Amino acid sequence: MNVTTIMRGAEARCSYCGAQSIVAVCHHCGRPLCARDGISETDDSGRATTEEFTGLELHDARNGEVPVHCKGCRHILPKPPWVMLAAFGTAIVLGRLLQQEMPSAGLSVVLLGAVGVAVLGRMVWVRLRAIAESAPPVPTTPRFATIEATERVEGTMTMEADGRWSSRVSARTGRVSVRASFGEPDRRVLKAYLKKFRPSVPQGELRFCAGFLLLRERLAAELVSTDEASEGAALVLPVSGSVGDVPYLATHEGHGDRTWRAHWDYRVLAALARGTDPPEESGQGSSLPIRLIPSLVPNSDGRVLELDITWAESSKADALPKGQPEGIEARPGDTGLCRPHLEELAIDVPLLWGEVESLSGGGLQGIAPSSSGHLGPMRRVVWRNLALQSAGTGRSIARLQLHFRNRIDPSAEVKGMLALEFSGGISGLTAIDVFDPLGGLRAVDQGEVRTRIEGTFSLRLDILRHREHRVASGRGAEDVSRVAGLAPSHELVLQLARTLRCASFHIQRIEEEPPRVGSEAGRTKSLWDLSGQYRSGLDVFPVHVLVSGEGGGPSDRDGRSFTEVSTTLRGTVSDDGSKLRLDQALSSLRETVAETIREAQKGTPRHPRGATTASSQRSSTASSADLEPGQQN
Amino acid sequence: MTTPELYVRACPEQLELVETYRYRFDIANASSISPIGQATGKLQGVFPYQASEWLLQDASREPGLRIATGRSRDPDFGDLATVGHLVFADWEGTNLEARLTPARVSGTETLRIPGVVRRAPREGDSSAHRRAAAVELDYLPEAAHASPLQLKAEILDRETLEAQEVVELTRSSELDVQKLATKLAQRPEGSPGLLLVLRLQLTLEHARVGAAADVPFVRCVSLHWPTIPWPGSLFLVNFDRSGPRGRTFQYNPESRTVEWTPQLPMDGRTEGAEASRQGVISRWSTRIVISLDEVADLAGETHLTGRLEVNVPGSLASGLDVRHYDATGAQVRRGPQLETRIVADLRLGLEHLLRRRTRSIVHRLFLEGVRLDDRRVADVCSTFVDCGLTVRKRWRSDGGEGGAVVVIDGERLMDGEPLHLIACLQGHRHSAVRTTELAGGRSYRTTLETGDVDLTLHGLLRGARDSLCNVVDAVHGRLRDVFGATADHR
Repeated sequence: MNVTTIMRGAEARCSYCGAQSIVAVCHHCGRPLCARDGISETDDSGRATTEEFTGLELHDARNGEVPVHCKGCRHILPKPPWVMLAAFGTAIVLGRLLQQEMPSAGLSVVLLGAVGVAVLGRMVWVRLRAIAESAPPVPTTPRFATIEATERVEGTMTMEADGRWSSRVSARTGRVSVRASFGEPDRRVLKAYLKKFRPSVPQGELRFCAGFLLLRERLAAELVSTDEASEGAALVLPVSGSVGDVPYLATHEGHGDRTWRAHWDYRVLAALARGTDPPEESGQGSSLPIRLIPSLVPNSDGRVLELDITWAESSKADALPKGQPEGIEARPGDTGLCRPHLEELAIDVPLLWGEVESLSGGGLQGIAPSSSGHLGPMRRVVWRNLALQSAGTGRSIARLQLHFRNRIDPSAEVKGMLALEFSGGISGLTAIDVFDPLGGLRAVDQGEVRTRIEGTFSLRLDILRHREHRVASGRGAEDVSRVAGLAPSHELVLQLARTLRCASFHIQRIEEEPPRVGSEAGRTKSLWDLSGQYRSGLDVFPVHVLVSGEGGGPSDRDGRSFTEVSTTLRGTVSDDGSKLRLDQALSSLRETVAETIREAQKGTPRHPRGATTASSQRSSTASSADLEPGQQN
Repeated sequence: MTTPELYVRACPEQLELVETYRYRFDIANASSISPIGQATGKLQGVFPYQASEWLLQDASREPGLRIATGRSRDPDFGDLATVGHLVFADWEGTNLEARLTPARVSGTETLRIPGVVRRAPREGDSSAHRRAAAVELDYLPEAAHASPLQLKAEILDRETLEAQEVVELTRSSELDVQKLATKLAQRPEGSPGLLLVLRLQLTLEHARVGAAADVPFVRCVSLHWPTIPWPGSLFLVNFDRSGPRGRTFQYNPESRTVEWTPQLPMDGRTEGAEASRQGVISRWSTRIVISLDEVADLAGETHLTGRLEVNVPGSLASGLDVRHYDATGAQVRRGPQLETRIVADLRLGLEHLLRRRTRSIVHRLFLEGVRLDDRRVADVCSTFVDCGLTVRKRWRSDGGEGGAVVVIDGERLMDGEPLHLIACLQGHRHSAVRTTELAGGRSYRTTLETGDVDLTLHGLLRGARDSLCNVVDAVHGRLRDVFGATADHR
């Protein structure tokens, strides 16, 4: 049995017990803490037992003046014994007064008071010094206008002339950014801070702390240049800066810009760390999670280019399967992405393809001249800001179309850029929790996490096939055989079906409609509907034959009976070969129908190979049918 | 002096045994199913070093248990702690015995994880949360030459798919004749292109009776498609039409495959003695129907290739079973996850499938002036017999808005294949009034009970197309003659 230790993606857990439920961070070191291991410095009545944040106008803050410590940073700054000091001072005064009446007793009281003042004064001095020395950054609670993480994946997509399609990631990065707006409460805190701590540095050089950000879920990411105290705190970002960076705080009058911005960069690893998988060390070289697949729309005369955009989505990394089957791409769900949005699709197409007559898909669309390519001058077609329909968990698809006035040159190469934006982080980041400068969870919205995937593409269209659906039908002279003096009958229909089968037209359905009254009394109109397929190799062309007519008068030979046969043949052609085969099938259909009708008119039904005549069929038993040579395609 | 054994109570985040079998399904003139390489088995376990959730934080309070932190002291992880035991049973079908660490009791393996130190974790040390101990054991199940998976692949058209469903309906024990008549009267929807129909049967011996949720399922299907555009109209059809329809596949341009991960449960139970044996899982999948409207794209290809994977949770094909005990010796109720994966590489001969495909034919006759009664039904049955068919069964329903309905199920063997012919007669009654005026102004009025019959013939036969056509044509012609005469002499 092999036993190894593996490293997995970082995950914010309690630094002590590993619990996932983080309710606080240590305001000194930023370690994430659960409710059990986070130490709130309060007494039984809920008041702060340490002087770190007292007197800083923080009474109205959600967590008041009570800081949170981890076990490693725990300390208490007790309140200086001002009352005792005053009491001993009072004792000195009272001793002096008592000295006039009772000199020895008064002297004792004065001496006791002096000793007490000396001892307590020393204690007060020590504690005040300790408080001043452990002065935290100015604890501010600005309003966060923005807390967001934006991850970017950049790469290229290529389709070669032989149809080989590939994509490659060139960079994976992430950035957490905040935009904070300071207000009057923060100025009050600053004033109280200056009064309490009397810092020796100028006001502008003071540091402030606006709280901490905690990156949630297991991440396949590494923060760039973090100076955090421990690995466990690596997912906690202290939101701190210099008072001088915020003019509103730095000036005495409170004028100037109130906003302050900060960001932290990180590197996204290639794979999301899961149960057993360590995160890959490099994001280079793997495939983009989006694809752009071009095709030519059938029946468009080669004038409509279709672009399929596909992407992979998922809900939670925990739901991922383990071990993908070979040959099948990883089950979409690896990405942690949802709610897709097309930010931009820009494609350069040759002017030779003519005006762009229409664009499908909605969103903001634009067409502008572009630089020249190998097919001469180009124009750029752009879609922007288009919401995409999601198919839930799994790969989804969006389809955009460009209609050109001229035919699309299949030797062309189209280039452009595709950018999609998703909710959620491709690193696995799902949310950002905000903590106040004292370490308590702050009641503000969780930060937004987005991923932008951007790829330039270069697609050769040589491989694309253009399919054309053709219908050869109608009641024109060529496709309708009308024979006078011949009333339609089931014998004729069966004979027609047999001869057609011999010509590879497999008539699969024969339906007789109820007869109707004809054009004259005693005459009836009949209609048979024959449908099936022409099959030759892999060519499948649906065929439809309608046999109609009138008969049943005084005599079918009176010249007023007639039979009409109309034919329809449909097919999809993609090249000259298939066009030729469709044309040949159509000719064969017409010839077969015409010949069968002629034979029937003569009254001498033809005996095609592999079929029986109607009369012989009637007289034969079914077992004789077994002996007919079969023709199969 | 020997070092005392260190025991740690630990909870694995993952502990599973997976056996993977690969087969090549070559369906062509000489169809074959052959194993690809050696089947593999793998035990995988992950023990995270996360104190309260996975490793007992207060283990020191329990006699004989110590704390684990996951911080290793040297690359060889000098200290190993016992976190449990695996007890294997029925391993004869594998080489597991040779792979297990020699122990006093054969068939047991002690789970030991590294990086355990004999002291409490350093306060505030959270780096352990990213660490986990991974336990792996590879073994080889005996190669099973008979694939537990059987594949039925057919190329059909929609008409034939419908006809197959009709035939299956007539084979069901409770037949709703009116429903069947309605189905027979419908034309199939959709384009007239071809369909590739895949149906899987799984027969797994030595299967452990797992939880109710342990249903084998088709995990993924992929087909190589050489052209762009790829056919966007591939879809799934459940036989009873209750399942998801129109679920689209996706095209992977990198591998040029059309892919789908359906998670399609194989919940169709097979009847019969084989299936009812204890310890045998026998399941059918619903039909996976893939529309090949653009089959011409495959011109020049002799074969359609692809891959599918079936997962059988809760059972191992080798018959191996395993139980998990923790460090204190108590059995862990939620034992290791067992799974058998069967990967099938498909190679479907297009020519063979096209030639051997099942054909169907439908003839619909309108018999004017014919009342549907027992004599007319007997006429149809006689015609069937005259044409060499055996009437298996017939059903009659006199209710319904459409009037009386009679369904006759006929069958005969043609070239060793059963030819099914189903006749559906839907009778419509109406009365006509005949008034005869005589000289002198007198007239006689006679009311005639008459009717019409819609007769539909559905024929189905695999392979020999012309035989099917000839038989159905013969029945059609005879019925026309018989009922033409009947109508004339009504």
